[in-house]
Amino acid sequence: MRETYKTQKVCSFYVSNMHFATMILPFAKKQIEEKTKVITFLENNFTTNIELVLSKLIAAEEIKREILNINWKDTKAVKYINIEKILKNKLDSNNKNVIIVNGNEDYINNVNYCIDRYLQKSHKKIETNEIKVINFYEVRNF
Amino acid sequence: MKYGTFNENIKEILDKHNAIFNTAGEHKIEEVFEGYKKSKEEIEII
Repeated sequence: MRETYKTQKVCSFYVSNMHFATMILPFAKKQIEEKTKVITFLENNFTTNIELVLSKLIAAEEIKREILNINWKDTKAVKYINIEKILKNKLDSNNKNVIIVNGNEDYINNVNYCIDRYLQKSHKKIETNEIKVINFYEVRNF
Repeated sequence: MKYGTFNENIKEILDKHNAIFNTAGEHKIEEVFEGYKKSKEEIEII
């Protein structure tokens, strides 16, 4: 018998783009300080909101630069091959990883399916207990 | 902070996750939604 590998899955709910930005930035700051790799799959572009909230965040300039290096633009490509390419390039097998997914329910489900499929395929190379996926759902869609 | 009953749509989403994240950080779902229980365990053994 063998176990199917699973990542830790976390959900979150937000009511506006600014709400998402104010929730995610202190969290992203903490991840960077702890050397955790942050990877994003966003259905919409949050760059403006992130930059606005970041300008008010108390953090070292170096940390702010690293936060801005995270991709806050939309990743509309949801085909497996594109998601696989991003994960192959960005997942850090030597440190913890957090994958942030934000979009409507279909987008989130599709991206998660691709992530799970990639990790099943690559489990021998990656410690899957070091990967956390946080799915952000916009409340107005319920 | 605890909430009352939740609608089935949210419950379906909660069932797919191990924890919930908000501005106060990460929590067990049961700590945020009073009365919530996962519908089934999702451990797959092949």
